[in-house]
Amino acid sequence: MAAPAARRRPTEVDRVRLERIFNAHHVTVWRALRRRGLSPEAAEDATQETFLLAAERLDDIRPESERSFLIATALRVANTLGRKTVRWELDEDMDQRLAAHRDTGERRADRQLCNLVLSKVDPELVEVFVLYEVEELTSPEIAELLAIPLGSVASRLRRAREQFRTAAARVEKTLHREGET
Amino acid sequence: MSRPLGEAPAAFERLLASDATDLERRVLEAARDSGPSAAASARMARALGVSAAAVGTAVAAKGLAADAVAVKATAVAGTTAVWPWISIAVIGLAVAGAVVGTRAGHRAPGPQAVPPAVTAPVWLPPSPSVEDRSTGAVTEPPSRAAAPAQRRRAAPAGGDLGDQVAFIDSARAAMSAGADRRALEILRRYQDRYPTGSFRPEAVALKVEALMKLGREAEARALAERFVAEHRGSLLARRVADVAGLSQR
Repeated sequence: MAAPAARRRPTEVDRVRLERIFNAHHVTVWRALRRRGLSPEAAEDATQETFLLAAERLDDIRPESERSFLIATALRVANTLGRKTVRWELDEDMDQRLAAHRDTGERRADRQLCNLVLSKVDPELVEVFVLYEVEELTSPEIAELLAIPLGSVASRLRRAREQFRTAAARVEKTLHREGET
Repeated sequence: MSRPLGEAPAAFERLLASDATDLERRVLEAARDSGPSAAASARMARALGVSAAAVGTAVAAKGLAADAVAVKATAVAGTTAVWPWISIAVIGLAVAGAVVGTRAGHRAPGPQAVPPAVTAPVWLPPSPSVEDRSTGAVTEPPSRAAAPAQRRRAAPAGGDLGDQVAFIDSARAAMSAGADRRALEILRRYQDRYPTGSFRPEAVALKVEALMKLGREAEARALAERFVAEHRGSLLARRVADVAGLSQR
């Protein structure tokens, strides 16, 4: 069996690159892990793990593929934790809490709104939706990342949008009825 | 916004750039705004041995200052003591390299506060000590005289067995990601911690594979020969022999 040569010792150049990609992408990675249902603390650990794995593979990561590589690695890490189902983190009573919390700060309210609406999107679809609409990955990148055909990306995205817009419209109607808008 | 079926994916305009309603926009922008706290970013950066550029907030500064005190005040931590709180996800992290510091006490916590992770920089220091660039604290290379980490974390489900599975899973994950040296380190720690563990054969098999991938064929073969002799006839022995290029006898 031909064994690959042992990896070289990391250099300062590597450290600088890791620092750059950490600062550019760690939030995206963390979010990807949260979407897999990890708690904030577990997502923090798994984000570290993702970047540690990236650090060992820096030579293999093309600069234009750093984000895709990191998200793909994060998803693998999540899989090792048994988190294969995508879901948006949401408290069970968010529906009730939404109205109660709408005056506690717009930012917080928006986050709750976000959780509420995205939780209504089919778990099988929400990841494609968020990767495309929020993280702004391209369809080919998503297809490669999730190992699904490009056509599946398109169809999932289309269905996700329909669900997203339906859920958003329903929430908007509720809020309107409650007098927020 | 409806589009005809079969339209090329590349033709999708992103909602935020097209006809999103105000509420849809709020939702998407909130999703984009979500992220780890500044303190969490700082902890992750420190664990990796890099600087977090976007953590210039008071929270992060407070966290780093607290860490600096902790690093200066505490003994060097070894990774084995970290296990009671460690999650599967962080196993690789904890054994990846030098553990340079831990905390002597808890940070003044809120209900969600998480003390900083024990740091395990990727960049193994070339000299016996390395300066923590964030704090100025000089930290030491790893030691097995470990102080317990203070991070609050539930014990692994399933007790020892769950812990053992976590080791093996992490070693496998590291190998899948091409991080063979780290896999070896994970396996070494597994064997240190569980010398008669339930998954010792699997650990040895993984070790043989990692050694082969790293080009350490002599070590791999020697280990494989011993393993095959001890587990002759088992499926695992066959696999190990195959991986190490031994002829099955």
